[in-house]
Amino acid sequence: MAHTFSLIDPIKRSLIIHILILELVILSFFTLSAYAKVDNLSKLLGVEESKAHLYEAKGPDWTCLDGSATIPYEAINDDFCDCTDGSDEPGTSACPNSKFYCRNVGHISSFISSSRVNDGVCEPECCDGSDEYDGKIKCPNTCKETNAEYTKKLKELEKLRTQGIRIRKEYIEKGRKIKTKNAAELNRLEIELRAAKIRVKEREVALKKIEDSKPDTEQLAPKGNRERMKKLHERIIALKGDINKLHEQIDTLLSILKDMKNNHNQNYHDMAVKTAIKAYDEFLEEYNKDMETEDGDEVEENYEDNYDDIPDKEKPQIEEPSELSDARDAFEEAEQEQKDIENHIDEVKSKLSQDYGLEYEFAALDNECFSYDSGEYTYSLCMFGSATQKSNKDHSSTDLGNFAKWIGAESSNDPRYYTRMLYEDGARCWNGPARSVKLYLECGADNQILSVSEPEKCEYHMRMISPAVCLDHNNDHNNHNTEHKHDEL
Amino acid sequence: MKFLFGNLKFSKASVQTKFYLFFLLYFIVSALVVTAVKRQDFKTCEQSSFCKRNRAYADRLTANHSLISPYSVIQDSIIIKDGIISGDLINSENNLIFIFELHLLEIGAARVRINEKNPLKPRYDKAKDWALVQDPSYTLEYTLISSKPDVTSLSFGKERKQAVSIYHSPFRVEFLVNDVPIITLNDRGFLNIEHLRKQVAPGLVDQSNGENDKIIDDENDLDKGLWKETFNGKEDSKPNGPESIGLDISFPGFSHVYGIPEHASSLSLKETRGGDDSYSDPYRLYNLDVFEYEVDNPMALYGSIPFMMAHRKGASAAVLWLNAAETWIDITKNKEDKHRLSSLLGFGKLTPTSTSAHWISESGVIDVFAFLGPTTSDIFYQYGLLTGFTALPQSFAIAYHQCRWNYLNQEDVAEVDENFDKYDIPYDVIWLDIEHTDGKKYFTWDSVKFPTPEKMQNNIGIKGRKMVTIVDPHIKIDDNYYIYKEAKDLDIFVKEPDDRVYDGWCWPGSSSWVDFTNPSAQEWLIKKFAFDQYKGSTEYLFTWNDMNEPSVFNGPEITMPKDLIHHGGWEHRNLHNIYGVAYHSATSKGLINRSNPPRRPFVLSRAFFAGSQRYGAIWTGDNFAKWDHLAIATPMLLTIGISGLPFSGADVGGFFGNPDTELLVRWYQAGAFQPFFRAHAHIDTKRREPWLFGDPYTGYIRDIIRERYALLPLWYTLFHEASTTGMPIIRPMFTVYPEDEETYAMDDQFFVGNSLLVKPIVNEGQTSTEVYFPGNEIYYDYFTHKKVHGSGKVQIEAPINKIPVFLRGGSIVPKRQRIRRSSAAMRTDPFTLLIALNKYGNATGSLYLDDGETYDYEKGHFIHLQFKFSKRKLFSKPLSLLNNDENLYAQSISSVRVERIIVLGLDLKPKHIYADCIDGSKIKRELQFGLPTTNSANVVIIKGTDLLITEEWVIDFSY
Repeated sequence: MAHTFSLIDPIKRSLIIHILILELVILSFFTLSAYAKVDNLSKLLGVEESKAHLYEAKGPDWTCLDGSATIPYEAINDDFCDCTDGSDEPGTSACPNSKFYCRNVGHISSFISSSRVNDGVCEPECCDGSDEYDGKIKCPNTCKETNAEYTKKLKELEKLRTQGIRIRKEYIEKGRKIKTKNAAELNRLEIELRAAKIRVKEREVALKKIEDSKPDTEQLAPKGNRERMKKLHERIIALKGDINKLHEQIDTLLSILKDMKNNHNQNYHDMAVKTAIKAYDEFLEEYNKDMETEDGDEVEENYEDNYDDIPDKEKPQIEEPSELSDARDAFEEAEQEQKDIENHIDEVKSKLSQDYGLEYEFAALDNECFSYDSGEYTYSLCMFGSATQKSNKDHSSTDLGNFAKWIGAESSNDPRYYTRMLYEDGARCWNGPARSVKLYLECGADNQILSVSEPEKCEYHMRMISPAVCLDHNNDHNNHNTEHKHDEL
Repeated sequence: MKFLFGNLKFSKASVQTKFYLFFLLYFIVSALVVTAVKRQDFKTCEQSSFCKRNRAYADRLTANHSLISPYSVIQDSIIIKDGIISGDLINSENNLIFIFELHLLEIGAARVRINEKNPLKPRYDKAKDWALVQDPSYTLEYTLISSKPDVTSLSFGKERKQAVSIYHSPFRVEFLVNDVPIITLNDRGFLNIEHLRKQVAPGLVDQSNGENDKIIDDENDLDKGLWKETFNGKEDSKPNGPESIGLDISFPGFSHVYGIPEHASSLSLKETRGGDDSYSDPYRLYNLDVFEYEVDNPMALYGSIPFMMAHRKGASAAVLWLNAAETWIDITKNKEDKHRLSSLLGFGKLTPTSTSAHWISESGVIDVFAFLGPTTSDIFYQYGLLTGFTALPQSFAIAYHQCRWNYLNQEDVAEVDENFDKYDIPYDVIWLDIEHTDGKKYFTWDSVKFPTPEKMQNNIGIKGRKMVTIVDPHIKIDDNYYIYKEAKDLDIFVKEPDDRVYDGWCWPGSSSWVDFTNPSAQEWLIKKFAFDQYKGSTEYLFTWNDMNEPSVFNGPEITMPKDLIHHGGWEHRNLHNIYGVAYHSATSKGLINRSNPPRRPFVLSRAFFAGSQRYGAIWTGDNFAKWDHLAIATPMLLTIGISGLPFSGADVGGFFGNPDTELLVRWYQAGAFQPFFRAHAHIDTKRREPWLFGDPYTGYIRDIIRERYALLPLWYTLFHEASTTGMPIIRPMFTVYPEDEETYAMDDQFFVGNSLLVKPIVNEGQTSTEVYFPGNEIYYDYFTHKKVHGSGKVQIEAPINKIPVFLRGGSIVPKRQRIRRSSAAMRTDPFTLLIALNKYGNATGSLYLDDGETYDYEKGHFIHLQFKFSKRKLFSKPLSLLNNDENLYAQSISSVRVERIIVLGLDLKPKHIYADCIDGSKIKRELQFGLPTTNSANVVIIKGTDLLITEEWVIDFSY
């Protein structure tokens, strides 16, 4: 909240002075002093109304509110700290531990630290300008404007919150449905699984029976060539495996180097690292070119082509009698079916065990993805899934981590618990930790990432608004303050 | 290294894959090797051919006592005129002639210059243009004592207490104070000037003068590197061949020498040629960007001040070896008694130790200043008159600075700023490192992260705070970058020997370096700081010069090749150590000139040289979040401080690595008592702003930062003293107790001014420490005000929330106890005087104040008070130049009071305390006072009521 102090027109200024004087008259029980005169301040300056009675003169002496000392009544607000609790100087900066009360008539009253009294800065918390009275600077009373702005903002926020609360209710409803659906699904799957298991058992028995009756299928094919071809086939498959492994290793090394390039400690000035990065760039250019021109599946295709060219008789005889193969197929099919069901069950179970919030409100957002363009990067985050950072230049993508837990508060009973998520175990930083994201959620009428920052290397902070965190509670901070608003004058 | 993959064709994917793999593994291995500390990146003496040659020269003379220095004065060549004694020297080994001059200077020092009489071409002699305020004037206060064939002697100085004898053969110069020799030149005969010569054939020495460079011929490998040398694969072309200079400078009877920063080493310098706890290499002065430097090491660091001081009971002496080339200094201590010192100094039969330094520089002329003291403060003053006193900084500059590489954007800055307020921790300056720029192009802003820099600065400026941005000397090669374009058009870049502009590697990638030794470059840079030139800068913005050694990532030893060419055709090797100060000077002038009327600049520099104190502060570079780096900061800063550059600090917390909370708290405690107080952290470290640790640690950090603010009046007064007398701000024990030999090597505790004794805790888990209390004086715990029991070595409790700090009896410390969010917000706050009486019941102190921003103080707009407590009376006496009614500053604080006077160590409880005005403007009045420790007069707190700081007054204690 910026105030412009110099540009106040004279009429307004005189009005402010009137207000100030009026306020003083109200406040002063004993000596009426001009505001600017520092050396004889009202004993009530900086005292909140509810404590005014503690500062009434009951004789020549006055006892500090903590009882630590008895001082002359005149020593209250004499700009010298006598009491250890600072209670003798409510209106000056003399005691480091005292608070100055700004009445802020027309707005919400507030306290500021005594160190902000007469420090040459008009505190936004003191819209009445009462914090600066020694003449160093004139602070205008902006309570009317401040309040108008504040009320407006509050209304807007309330509106968004109301919308948010409504949407959140929908989320809760949706969540409940999802939960029910998942539970039913689990039920169904478990029944299916039982059936599938029986089927597997039955077919296994059937297969065994056939296998036992036909002991040597090998003999059906001519030996020699078949053996050789089979061996060759196996070798090709092994080589293919090797190539794939090597490709994987290249990818690993490339990602290590990419990490090094992106995250190397520039302050090391290390020419070995810098040379490696330069060479990596050159290598990558060449490598990518080669990858484009060269067909990655060359070997495989060659194999397939050549294989087809081999005269039929030389092909390995791998066909089985249809009865046996049918039985085997049936068994394998049943097995696969069981596996699929089991996987499905795991999936549903993990959803059911996921912590979707106090009232299951986050289930509606499960796997919903949101993105944010920072100029250099586009960040995306899928709720309860993963977060990634994509370069807008080369579209390379970096894993920032997967959802791990809620971290808004120590205990899930704390309403703040469900306002912060941790995504962790992303790609490791060169010479640093694995990347992670802290997602800070605030109430809003829709879901939107507002900002992304990296306050420490590889630790990302995302701010996001979402209706899912719009709680409907009536005694929150803002309402509390409004009750204390001064409407007099 | 280039890899031409395009030329290699492999038809089989698997082969190609293996090939790629091989190279990938190679890259990874080379990347992993780099994390070790990198001594091998920097030369040893053995790897620096001129150092090796001069060491060999010295060894030869040391080994064979029949050999003497071949340099002698040519008969009858000596002329004495107007404070200058000049003459010719001959080197009997090659019959070459040299001229020497000895100047007797008004400042109480002498200067010895030696150059070739007829050099092949001029030798570099411009280091003085950067280091000295002006050419020093000669004194006419001298008397010729004797002029014999073998010696010429003069006495000089007003009382003729100083004397110099020039011995003719071999040539030797001896300086004496009260007839006792304190500095001798060429005592051991190491004077060696490699004359400029023509290269006859590569690797051979010119024999045309009939010379016979025996020493070099003797050892074949010493020939290597005369005309070319290679280090880590980088070649130095050396077209001028060998041109080094060497000389031994001895301090007879002195067993401790100090100075020659910057090294991560002890205050009292160690021997380098054998002896207990000695280094094997000489101390090196060559401004370098050393990554993760080691402690207890004579390796060169970021700055160089070729100033060495010697101290013993009754005498101090110092020398400045004015040379900006790579310099090595060997230190030896010996017990030979050439000078009958045992009798002169009353040692009886004991042989005193003498310390000798062998100075070796790669090029230039011999230009040595001898400061004859006799006290350390005399030397600080003499050295200050010669190279300039510390510029009085703006008052914000000595408050607390918050830095990190990097605050990310405007929101981040605003949040950090707000958090300081929220946690009630004061700070004055927030810093932005290189990431604030558009692609490391200095003078620009990253428009996404910092779209409205003026607004951002105004937001903090309105609270009395400032901002600092980094501006480095490497310029990104980019024709669309106006700074590059202008410098290119002006032709002010450093060049290759073949006249191409030098292209090296630094933060922005390919960069060129402006040659700040070129007057046009100075003029140009100064203009670049004008508000209309540096877009987005405001009066709240100040500057940080980093990487100005200069740091060049792909250069030899991470700096510039020595054969690059500067203005006037001079090779970089001649002026390497002044590149940093030349840049610092232009930046500083730029900030002065941007405002009218001018305002004091603030520029922090990493590189420095003699004279840098005129331009701003320096810091000890990229330290480490380790306990040994915290420990070494104290001797480093003490050394830099006695070498004329008191405005210095070490990064609080340690730049690299993550300090644990204990280390961080201890570092803040130590940092609060450093002249320059800044927390800084590397980009890879965890955030460590003070509030992130939670109580009690955040509270401990808050407390000590607030204590720094409370003591700002003392610090500012000490800065003023430094700016007028050259006195260091934090002082080694021996400078305050020069007669106490116990203190001579003490560098883990120190004084702030003369009043506060500080001993930082620098060991993990330590909660008590032994503090040495010198002078049989009363000391008081600064925080509790309790008297220390005992003197000498006393065990002191130091729990985690406490740094041992003591008030020395006899001092009066001015404070401000209302801690605000910034120093500017405390500008008109009342004062507290903390009076620590000595054993005689006396104390003195002073307070200097001015507007903290402008140069009005030069016209007398300041107040300077002398406080004196004597015979149960406290006097405040203004020393200001102007009356209060002419003094604009005094008027601006005319209502500021002394709100509180705390007297420690009164023997009797006073009955009444009265205040009286000297000028009679107010009637004598009684002051209220309290005794917090009941029934004891140890602490008396007086309520100041209406004692004005600008008035002269006296306070009377009646019993």
